[in-house]
Amino acid sequence: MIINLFYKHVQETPDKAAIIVDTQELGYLELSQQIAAFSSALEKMGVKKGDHIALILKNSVEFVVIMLAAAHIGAVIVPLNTTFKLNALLKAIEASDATFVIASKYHLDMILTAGSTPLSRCICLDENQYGIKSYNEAVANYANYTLGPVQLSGLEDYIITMTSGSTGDPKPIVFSQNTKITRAYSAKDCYKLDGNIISLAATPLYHSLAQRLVLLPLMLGGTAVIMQHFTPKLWLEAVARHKVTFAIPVSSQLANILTEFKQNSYDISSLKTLVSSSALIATELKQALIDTFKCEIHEIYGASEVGVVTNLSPVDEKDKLGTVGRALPGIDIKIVDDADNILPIGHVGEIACKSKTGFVGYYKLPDATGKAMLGGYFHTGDFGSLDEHGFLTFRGRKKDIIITGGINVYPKDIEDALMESGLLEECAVIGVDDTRLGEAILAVIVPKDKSNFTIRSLQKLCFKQLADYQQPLGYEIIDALPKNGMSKISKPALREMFKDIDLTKDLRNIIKANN
Amino acid sequence: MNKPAEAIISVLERNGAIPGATVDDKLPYRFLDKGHIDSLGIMGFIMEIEEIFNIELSPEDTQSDEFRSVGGLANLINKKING
Repeated sequence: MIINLFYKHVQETPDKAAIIVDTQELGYLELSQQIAAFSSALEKMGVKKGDHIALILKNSVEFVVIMLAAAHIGAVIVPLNTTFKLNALLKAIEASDATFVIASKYHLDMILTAGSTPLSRCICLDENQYGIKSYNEAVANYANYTLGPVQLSGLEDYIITMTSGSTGDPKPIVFSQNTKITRAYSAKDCYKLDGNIISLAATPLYHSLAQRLVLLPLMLGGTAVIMQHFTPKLWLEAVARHKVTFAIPVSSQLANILTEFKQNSYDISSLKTLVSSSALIATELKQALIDTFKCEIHEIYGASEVGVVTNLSPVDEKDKLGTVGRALPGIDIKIVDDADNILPIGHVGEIACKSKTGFVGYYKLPDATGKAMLGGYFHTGDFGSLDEHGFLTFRGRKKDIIITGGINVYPKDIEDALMESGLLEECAVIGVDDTRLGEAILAVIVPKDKSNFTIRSLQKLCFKQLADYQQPLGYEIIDALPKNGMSKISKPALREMFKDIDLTKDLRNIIKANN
Repeated sequence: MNKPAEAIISVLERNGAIPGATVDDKLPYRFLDKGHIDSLGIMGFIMEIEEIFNIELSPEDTQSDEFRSVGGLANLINKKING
């Protein structure tokens, strides 16, 4: 059980730093005391094993305490994107059957106004006018409580993540505790990690990546450093200050980190392993990272549903730099055609993989789960090819997804919102290559009446309905969207049309590039 | 009372606390340098400020040094409101 692995280190190294969030540092014993208190508070509220708790929280000590409290009780956490607007939050709470909510006052104001969750099932991070128990109150009231033994098998659901499927039609991914443990130990073996690990999580805890970078060191007896905000400068300062040994930035962060590192001086000699994740990085960038950082550079490929599937390690980088590496132990990869036939070596088809670190399934969506797991292999929706040595080359995406800032975006969410305006004949949302974000979102639109139309009206609508990461950074007006032979909108043609567009020039000037 | 500053602080603090006990203490906070708003959040932040005060911020406004701190942005908003 995750929590038993953690408790072992509470016994062995009670005063060692377990987590560091900004200037707050908690040792193992102190963290376990907060977990005991908060778990007791949850139980007194009526939270039982199997109950689903929606979390709408920024990176914080509280988030980690709640993750581990749930791991002790056997409750299921449903971490949600804090930039979701009300409609997406309510949809996610409904789709995941969350009956408890823990959130900041800002988000609880939204949810309580909608009347979807009773006051008695809410905990507020802040003082509030509803009389809802605050986190600090909960921890103070139960400060001296001790918990009973963990009564779980590990097969119970633990985390439901909403990062698959559109926000309009989410596919909640279910992970058991055993899955999270297996994935953590797979990373431990791959990167030769131990209790000396000091990891750095620089992405939101509502995503699996940051959860892994917290749970992994806590299971091994190491230290998890958690950033509340990311800039390349803050990332490098955190590595230097806390002597970070292991980090998995998302690929879009890496180019900016590299540029900042080259321009200013940072002592990051503690860093032993740096892994690029979430989206492919260019071979040139990979080479630049290898040439500049004096640590092991890895690149991984995977999906939330199956975890990390391949790893490109320094040993292989010399000859196979254009690939994403070979399958990890216990993983089987095949390349299939549309009829699910296995294709020969070198042929391009859909990447399908079988993994011992796979998800439980999509919550209450057995058909979607069955379709994704055809023949026991998860069909990724990505194109790739295998060479004779088993190295996987990523060749593009079959599924209609944009990856911006390391986050999956489903264009349909944005297209539906734009069409709701009533101002457009048709529209298409595509990703264009971008130096800052990896991909940036472009909306290509055909207004009904060009003379009586403003882009600003669409921007306002998107702002009201969509999360931060879903906002188009550019709008292009054309007379008609290109169609293929089946009269379907041709996104490849649109991507070709706008391939040289720079959507983040103004944004980069605002952010001042490598801040 | 500095209404623009209070509104800016209220929006920013959804993403985490800003150091300082009072509004005045928080005026020098350079929220972009601190990553308080990231690349994906900046457009939404600008739109929200524009909505709250019924103003439009130009690229010159948002790329200025004034925009980068709570106090500077509050000044910018006051200038827009007062013409």
